Amino acid sequence: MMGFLATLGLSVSAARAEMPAWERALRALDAHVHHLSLLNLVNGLNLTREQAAALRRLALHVEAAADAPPALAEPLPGALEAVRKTYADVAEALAAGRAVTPEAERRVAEARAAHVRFIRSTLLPKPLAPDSRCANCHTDPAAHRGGAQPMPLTPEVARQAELAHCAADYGWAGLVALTQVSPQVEKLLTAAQKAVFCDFSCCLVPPHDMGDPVRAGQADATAKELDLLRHVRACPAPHWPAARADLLPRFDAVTELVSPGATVERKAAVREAIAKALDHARSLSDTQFELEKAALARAVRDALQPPAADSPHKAAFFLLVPGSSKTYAELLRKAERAEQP
Amino acid sequence: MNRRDFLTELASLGIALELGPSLAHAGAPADRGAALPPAEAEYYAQNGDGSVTCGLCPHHETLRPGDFGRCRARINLGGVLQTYGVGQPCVLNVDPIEKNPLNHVLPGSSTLAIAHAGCNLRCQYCQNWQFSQECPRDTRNLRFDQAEAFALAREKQIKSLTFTYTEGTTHIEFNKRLAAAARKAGLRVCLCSNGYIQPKPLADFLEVLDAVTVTIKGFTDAFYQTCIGAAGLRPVLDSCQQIRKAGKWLEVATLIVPGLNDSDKELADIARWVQANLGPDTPWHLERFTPKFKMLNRPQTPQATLEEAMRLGQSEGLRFVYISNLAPHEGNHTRCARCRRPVIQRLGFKVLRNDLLNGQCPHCGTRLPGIWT
Repeated sequence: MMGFLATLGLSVSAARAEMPAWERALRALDAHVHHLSLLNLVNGLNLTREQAAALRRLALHVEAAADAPPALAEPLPGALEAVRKTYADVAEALAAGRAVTPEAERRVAEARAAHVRFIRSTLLPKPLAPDSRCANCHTDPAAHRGGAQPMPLTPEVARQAELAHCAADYGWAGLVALTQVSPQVEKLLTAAQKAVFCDFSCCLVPPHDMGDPVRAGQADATAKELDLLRHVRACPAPHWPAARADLLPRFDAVTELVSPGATVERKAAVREAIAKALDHARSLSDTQFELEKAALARAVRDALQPPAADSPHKAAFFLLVPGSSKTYAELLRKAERAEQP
Repeated sequence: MNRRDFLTELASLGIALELGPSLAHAGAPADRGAALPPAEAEYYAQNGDGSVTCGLCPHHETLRPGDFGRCRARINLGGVLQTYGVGQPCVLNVDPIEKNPLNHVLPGSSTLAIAHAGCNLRCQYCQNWQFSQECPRDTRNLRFDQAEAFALAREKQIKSLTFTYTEGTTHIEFNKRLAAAARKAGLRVCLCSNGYIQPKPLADFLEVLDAVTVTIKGFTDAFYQTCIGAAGLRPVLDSCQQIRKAGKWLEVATLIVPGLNDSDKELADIARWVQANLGPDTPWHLERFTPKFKMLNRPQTPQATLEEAMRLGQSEGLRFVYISNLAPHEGNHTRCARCRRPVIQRLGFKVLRNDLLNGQCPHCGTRLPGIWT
């Protein structure tokens, strides 16, 4: 672990700062994830100028009460700087309305893997106390002697973690302000825009599957899962047992990407659900598979995805993240420029 | 709120990153099955010198032995016109019917979408070029079992079959038979077409069709000649009128490509023609272009262009103008032609809410045109 720490470059000088370096890095990368999600939403919700102006006003109101967000341009120590840089590059492309190339998408996946390794290295085996400080569940990676230890997410712990993360993003006063203006966000969105949030999860790279014109959130994008199913079906029967045995444990890493705190039990459950989908895919005729493939791809995706809780404040939470007022201001500037003859 | 949701999207990214090495051993999905032998086509004449003349579409091609038609599916083999579009589809999907696009046919239902490779046109911006610009011999095809497909369709409450993604009229022989069988199995049958077909085969096909979407790609012969690979626009307009005259449900679509067919004049001309010749109740879908095929250098259609086109269509008297491939947008919804209140609300291809009561507006009772049950 000391080696990992050295790699990250969490130096003594950083530790002397007001906030521990590991906490600063956690918060900063979290803010990048939020920022990317916001850009995806702004690009994909097709907001009108009036909506953008109203959201900017509400964002300013929340920001006045919320904790100041981490500076996204501020370098992070060691290997985490490459993660930050990748997220920032994608954000720049999205803000400029450029498509995210497959190469950039691959870099995001690698960055996310490094990000998750870092999160796992900070996780305590169980919360220290029933409160919502970061240090309740995370610690300096240097404090771990036995490597990353996943924390079982009991409903109680999950609830605490949820609250703690929201508080970390907004600050308590910011959260209060957010819940106050949340009905106004709901009011200014159309029914179709609100429907986007039903399945919305954080979105580092927007979906670009032509099968669904919705470009915010996950839409119905399961192109990679479909590709996986096709590969699996193409595997000759004599090779399948070995390929299956090789393939399934690899989902553990994917599970960690989705749930950095995934336990051994959670990973086993994911593997089992995916194995079921893959075996079923192989058992089908061509015609059956083609007609079942969308459901099978969703089964693979859903196996990896923890059950989503809903909240009346979900849209506001994603749209008014501290720092979002600048994004709306830029959107309005663009609209103004586009209208100029 | 579950913040772990935040990370869900990474699952699919992770699949690519983490599973790549395993998948490489598992097998190549691009492996294609053996192509079925071609079968004799209809709609052609033998010229007595070994050549044949295809009468399916206005290209009216004369093919020497061994020659493929422009559609890449029909070939002259020993003086007999044969087609490879015979039961080896490259696409079989369960799609929302709105994806066709068809917004006035069984909204919110699923359709069995099927396609063989090949198309008689060469749209430089084709959105399905991987299939449309190939010969059925060369694509990864699937072993299609009609009985199995219809049984599953029943099980999944799929209400229709659609020939889409490529040009369904190119494979008219197989598609007519499949359409007739689908109707017997209780399915409605729909076609998405470029409309570039001769009147006789179209008339035959229409006998087994319920609804058609025709793409009017532009409104000048020059556009059809330079960007589409057709001799002109007229055959497409004739097909639209023939479909309407045959009493089949018809919707038209135009993919708006920046700098090519997005002038106010061209769009207004299309709208005016549709209104005057097909009627004001004909839905017109304005589709957003995404850079594809040979037009990777063009930008995506701006939202403002689509909105202006929608305004033009409405001002020309069209009652149902839609914006496609851009969602969420108010142009996705169906509004009552009389009271203008939304009666079907959509998010892209997904129906969020359908308030129609037996095809009637729940607010003012006006009947909306379409196939609703």
